Amino acid sequence: MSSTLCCSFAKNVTLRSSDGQTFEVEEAAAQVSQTIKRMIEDGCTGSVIPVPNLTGPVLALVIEYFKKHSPPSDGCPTALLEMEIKDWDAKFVAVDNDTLLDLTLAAHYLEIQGLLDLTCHRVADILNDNSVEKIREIFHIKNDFTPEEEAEERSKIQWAFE
Amino acid sequence: MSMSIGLPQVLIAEILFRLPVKSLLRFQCVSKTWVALINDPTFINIHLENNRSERNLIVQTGEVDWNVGGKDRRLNLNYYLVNFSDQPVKVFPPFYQPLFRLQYISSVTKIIGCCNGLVCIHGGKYNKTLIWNPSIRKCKKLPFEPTVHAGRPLEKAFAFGYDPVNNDYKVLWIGEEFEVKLYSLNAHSWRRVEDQWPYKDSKTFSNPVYLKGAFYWLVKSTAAGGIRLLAFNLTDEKFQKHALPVPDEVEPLSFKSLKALGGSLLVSKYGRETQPFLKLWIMTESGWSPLCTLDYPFRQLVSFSTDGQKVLMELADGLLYWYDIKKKSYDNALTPIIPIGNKSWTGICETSLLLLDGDNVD
Repeated sequence: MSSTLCCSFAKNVTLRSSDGQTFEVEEAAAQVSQTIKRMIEDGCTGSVIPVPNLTGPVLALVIEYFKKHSPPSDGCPTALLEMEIKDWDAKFVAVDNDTLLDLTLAAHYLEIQGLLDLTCHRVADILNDNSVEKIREIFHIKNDFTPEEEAEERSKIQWAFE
Repeated sequence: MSMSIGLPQVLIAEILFRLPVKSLLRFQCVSKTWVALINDPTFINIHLENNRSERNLIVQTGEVDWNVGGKDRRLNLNYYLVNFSDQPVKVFPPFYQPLFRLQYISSVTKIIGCCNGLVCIHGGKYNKTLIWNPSIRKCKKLPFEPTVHAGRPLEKAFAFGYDPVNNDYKVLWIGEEFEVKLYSLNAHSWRRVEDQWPYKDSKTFSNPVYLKGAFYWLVKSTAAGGIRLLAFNLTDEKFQKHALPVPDEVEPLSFKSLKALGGSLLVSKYGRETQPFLKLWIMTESGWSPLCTLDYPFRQLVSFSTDGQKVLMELADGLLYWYDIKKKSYDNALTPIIPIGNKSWTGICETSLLLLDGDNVD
């Protein structure tokens, strides 16, 4: 909060991904992430902020999200703007499953509540439409049931598969 | 290579919280870790809180099976879940099929109460009480089945609710001479409570309502000088006397009923001028305040909308309507196709995973 008050011009920070790519972004936008906000408040500005959990391509996407969701410079967001952001959000998470899960993880590491809600919702919608086998594939989960155990598990709740 | 190999458990939970119970039942087949997560009590409680807006009406209907001859003519009770929201909505498929048919029921089988997606049913004649979760089709039969005091309707003899401090579901039973016993789902047993019914002369009292960790009754006691509001706290298991909206001495018999709608306690008073009306008070932090006056005819009040601006009520035609309190007008909310005309109970039932370890209903 104090940083936006004291600066009349846009102040930038540099973020570095796990694979060494650097990105420059407005400080106000980067503070959409609670984790980065804390780092800035702790005096990490001026130097490069490491984001070791995110690869370059994922960090690039997250920065796109930052830019769209940074607090508007001229007062309150309008209803029209909110609708536009909602549309943008829907397109933003219309990606392949691996990218979607990467974004979910990124939202978790960087504490971006809005992005976490958005991605979790999207993943939940995908899961809802898919079979157990497909879900294992999406999440890279190894089936640790024996065929007998799985058959028993299924038979207990047969009606839920109908 | 994706980072997502090995999504942490906390994120899996974060995603699964957003799924309906039926999907979660299926997803127990994904892996053993998922079974453990979906069955975890903390997960179940958070899932319930996240899905409170997913509301269903539970409707009990009875039909006599004429094919069974003689005295044993059977009454089949069917239970339906109807998904609804604050807007006029379509009726979802489960509606057309009876969800549950009680085998051992009698004509005095009643729903005692609904709480967090659990429904407590008592089959009068055979003295069976069970707690049932219709959205996952699991139930638990209560041990020791108390009998209903002669002449006391069973919906007055029992109450069902949740003790939020001990995370326990409890059934209260008022027996002979107002002896009060309590069943705890955690302990799976009945016991007599220490603090007993304070109005021993209360021949008449209202049906109990459950709200936020307590049961409430309107009790008529000559010794206490009229109608009183009595509460029973499910955590400390003590009775407590509360004040009523207006001094009941003015019209001692006119307090019609208690309701717990949309998270608030309501007291209604029947009145008549040119036409009959029902005046409602709502209990707030600072006491009772007048809510609205509804004109008859309507059969019953079922629920509030989530914003508290509308009341879902059943009118004389057996259909449910949203009534806008401020605009004083009706919307058609649902057009039920089930034989709602002879139904005996309607209530609000959330969806939850509680009682996953219970017995199968089918």
